[in-house]
Amino acid sequence: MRLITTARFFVALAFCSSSSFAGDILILKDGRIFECDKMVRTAIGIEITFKNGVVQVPSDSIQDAVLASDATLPPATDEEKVNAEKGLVRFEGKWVPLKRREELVAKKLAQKKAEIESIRSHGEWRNRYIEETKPFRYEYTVPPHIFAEFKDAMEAYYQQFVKTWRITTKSSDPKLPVNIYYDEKSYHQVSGAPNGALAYFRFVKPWDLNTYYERLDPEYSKHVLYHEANHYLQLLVDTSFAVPHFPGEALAEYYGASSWNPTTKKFETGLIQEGRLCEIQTDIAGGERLTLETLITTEGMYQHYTWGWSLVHYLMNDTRYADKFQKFFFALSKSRDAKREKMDVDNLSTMKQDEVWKLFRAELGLKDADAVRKLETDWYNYIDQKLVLVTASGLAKAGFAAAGTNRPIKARRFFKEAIEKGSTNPLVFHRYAELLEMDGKSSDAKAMLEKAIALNPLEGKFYNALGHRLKMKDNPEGSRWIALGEELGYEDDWIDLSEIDPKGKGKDKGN
Amino acid sequence: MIGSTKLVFRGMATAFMLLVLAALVRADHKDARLGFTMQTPRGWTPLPMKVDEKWLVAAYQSDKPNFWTDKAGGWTNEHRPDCQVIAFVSEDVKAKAKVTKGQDKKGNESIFIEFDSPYKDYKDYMQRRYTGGGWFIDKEEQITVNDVKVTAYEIRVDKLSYNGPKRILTWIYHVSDVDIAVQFEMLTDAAPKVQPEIVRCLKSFKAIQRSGEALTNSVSTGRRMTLLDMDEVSPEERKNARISLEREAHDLATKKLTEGWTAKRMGRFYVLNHADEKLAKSIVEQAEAVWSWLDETFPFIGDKEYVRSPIIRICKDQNEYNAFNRTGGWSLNDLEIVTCQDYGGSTSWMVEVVKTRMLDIWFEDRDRDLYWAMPRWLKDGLSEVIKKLKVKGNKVVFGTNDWARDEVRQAIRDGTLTKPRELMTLSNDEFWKDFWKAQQASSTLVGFFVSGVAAKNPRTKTVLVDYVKALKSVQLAIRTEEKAKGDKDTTQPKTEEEEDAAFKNQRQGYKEKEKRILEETQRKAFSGWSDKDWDEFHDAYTKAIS
Repeated sequence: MRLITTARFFVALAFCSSSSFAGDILILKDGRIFECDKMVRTAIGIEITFKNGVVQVPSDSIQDAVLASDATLPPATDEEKVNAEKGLVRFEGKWVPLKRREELVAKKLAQKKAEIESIRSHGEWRNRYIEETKPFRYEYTVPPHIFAEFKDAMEAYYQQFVKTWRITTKSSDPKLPVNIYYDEKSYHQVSGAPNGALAYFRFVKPWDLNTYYERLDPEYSKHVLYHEANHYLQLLVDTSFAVPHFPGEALAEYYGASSWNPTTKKFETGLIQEGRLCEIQTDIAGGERLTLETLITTEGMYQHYTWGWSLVHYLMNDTRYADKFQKFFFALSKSRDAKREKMDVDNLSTMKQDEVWKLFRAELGLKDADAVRKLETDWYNYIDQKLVLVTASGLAKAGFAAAGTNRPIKARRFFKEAIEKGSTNPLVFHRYAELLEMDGKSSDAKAMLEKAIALNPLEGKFYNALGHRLKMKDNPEGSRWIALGEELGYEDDWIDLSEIDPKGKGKDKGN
Repeated sequence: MIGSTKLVFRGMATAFMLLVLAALVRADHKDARLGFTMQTPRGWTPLPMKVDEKWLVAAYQSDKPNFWTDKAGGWTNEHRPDCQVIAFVSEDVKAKAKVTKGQDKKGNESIFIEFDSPYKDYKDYMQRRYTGGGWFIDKEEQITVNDVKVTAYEIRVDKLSYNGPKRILTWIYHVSDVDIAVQFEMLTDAAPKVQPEIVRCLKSFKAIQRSGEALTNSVSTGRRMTLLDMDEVSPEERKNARISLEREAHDLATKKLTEGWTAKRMGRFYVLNHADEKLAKSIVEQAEAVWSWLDETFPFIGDKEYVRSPIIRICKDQNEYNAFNRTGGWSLNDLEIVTCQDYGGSTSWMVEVVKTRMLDIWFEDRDRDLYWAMPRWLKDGLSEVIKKLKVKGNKVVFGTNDWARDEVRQAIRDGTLTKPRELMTLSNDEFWKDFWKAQQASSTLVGFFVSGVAAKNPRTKTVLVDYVKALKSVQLAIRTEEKAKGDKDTTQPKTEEEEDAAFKNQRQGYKEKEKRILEETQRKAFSGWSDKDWDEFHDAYTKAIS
């Protein structure tokens, strides 16, 4: 799933706020930073007043905040009132004199400003953070609290993979640079990745891995990182052999569906790639099933990511095949009988897909066409019966897939189920709202957009959508929401044709 | 005699002085419209601009190459430092989209939106247009040059850098209503040697009195007919529109030429030349031969259509060709054929480029729909065969594609050759499955029809023409059916099941349509051929190739 770009949002706010004269600072968990002169603490979080509206930011999205008004907070509870009479006020759980609190707040503000300046400065690639561990050299422009989770996950991932695949590394091997950019735009610019490439691993020395942080879907960012890092780990099996597209991409997808639990410190792998499963299900709905032979013999096929993933998932989860599949993978670079091709770069060799197919059949024990057909049937059954969408995120992905293939009824059902299952992805509500609007359910659509805003109240995209919806219905509030969206950094790409075509204006009146 | 010796001596001394001066003096770049002058490094050649380029106002390239060797692959790459001058006129930067109200070709009231997404500033320009690798600003400072405020960037191009790691020095001169970015790019390894002179040039920037012309660089002469508009008018109207587009493109291209280039009509072509006249003649002769061969071989295709006169732009060498292609982003101009002197003679790759582009232009103007509907074997095969077309005396002959022939011979020996009958019915997906082999087989097969034994055999000599005629008739039949069916198929699915069924129909429908085109066309073109005939044809074909 491709999401909207975020660079301008982050940068715009950072720069815009630097000219702000007051000192309130808000750091969000998704990495964004706001400096503003009109922030107030409320029971549910922080209220920010912008030129075009007031925004409520819920506590659970706040990483840190320092407000100048913290120095003058009036007593709220009986205990605070009693202590206030003694000249004491609460500050971070302690009772301190009022003047001391003012000093402490001022000091904290100054510290936070310095911290923000540092984060902002490190957001430029030339000033990036650099941190080394045993296997990796991390270079990144995301804020440190975002990086911390990526790093812990990557270290655990590395340890687990080298153990599972019995990899021994040489101390002479260079550390892999893992470059994490704070958004998609800066990733493409600095890494040179072409459009469409979500991340890349340079398998020719000097090795290099580049990926970015997608703040609207952090889990997705991690899946992409695990996928790309897997190409490096595959190379470690034999550094003189470049794994062919299949099984290379399929295995990378298998490991892409991993999850790191920072509390239990557990790295779980081989989960269901629900996005890929949706693509497979869309193919099946379109009347297409890929044969085993076509999948494995076709060079550079896109379906290696989708159908290929499901095949690897099946083989790795079936006790009859798991060891054989691993043996097949090792045989790609080690088997004496297999025919390999020189790549004319870095002394690497690789293998054509036809040869991969021969090896696959040999290692999996597929002696004849019947055996191939049997495995193929079992694999299809596995897809149909065992691979199911279970999470809210998976259902949402199915919704996006159905909407993208002109099946709005199905899409609406999936989005509804995703929301019932607890989806908190505002993009789900946003897309669902569009589909409801198409279906003539205008009030429901509006309610969904309002929910999207409530879930991510500092995302300009949703105000923009709501604003245009209201504007189309001649609601004067529309322009204000659009302006608020722009104030939050969203670029309005709509063209107002009503300015030159007044006849077309306001045809669709309603809520 | 003595007197004359002195005269000779003095004459030589003057000549020597002039040579010394010429070596020291750098050319001035002057832009009266934007109001500035600047020295350019000595020995750098000005580059012409693309016809529809709006932002780039000048470009230069060094005549001296630098080299970088890739340690992983061991290849050595050549790079010539270059300079680009980009103007960000405030009026252009602010523009969003041009929306105008008017009438379409049928007289209906319409709204026309001209999307010309502008660059906000230099960084935005770099992000959207630079293709030389991953880059970042390594240094940034504010300075003043001859009373003009300047933002100076030093940019590093490190990751996935094309031709090797590079350095870019860009100084943005903030003059009234315009930011003028002057960008110099060089290999990082060459920077210590090249940079001092570049900095001297950057420091020579001076603002001068403007000529008074509009600051915005117009690349359009009014609203054009869109591709869809063109489809709806008569061939005569289309001809007039094409002539007008053609003239506009020729005029703009001429206007944007730089010193050393010539513009000349040669036969049916408009030639912009920076190489020698002999090469231009040879290229035009071959392009004319392609055009004439297509006219003669497929006279029935779009016989009332006007084929526009292409611009052939001949760069002086490969470096200038590369640099020209870099000066500008994606272009809407489909009438220009860019090539260069590569000293490869009439069979060079650069001449092949001209021939295949001529093929594209001819077909797209004569019958675009037919061209786009061509099965892969025919389209790729024709393109490969056209590359080998040459003129011998007054006759057109076709050379052999040795690569393709060897590949097919090997496939015959291995028993893996896709038989012509099957090759002709390969779907696009099937063709791509082993693209290289399929393409080589197609090239050899079309070559066999055009100039091989098949071209002389009464049974097969018209096969290619018959096939194209059959393709057109199948295409028209399908279109008629679709048109008749069109209005009946408007019901929207009401349930998920209906939605899924419609989706399946749509996805499978495309494949079924492709299959139908391939099979029906083959049946029509080879009507009356039995299995035995096909076997005999296959035998004759493999025998001729082996």
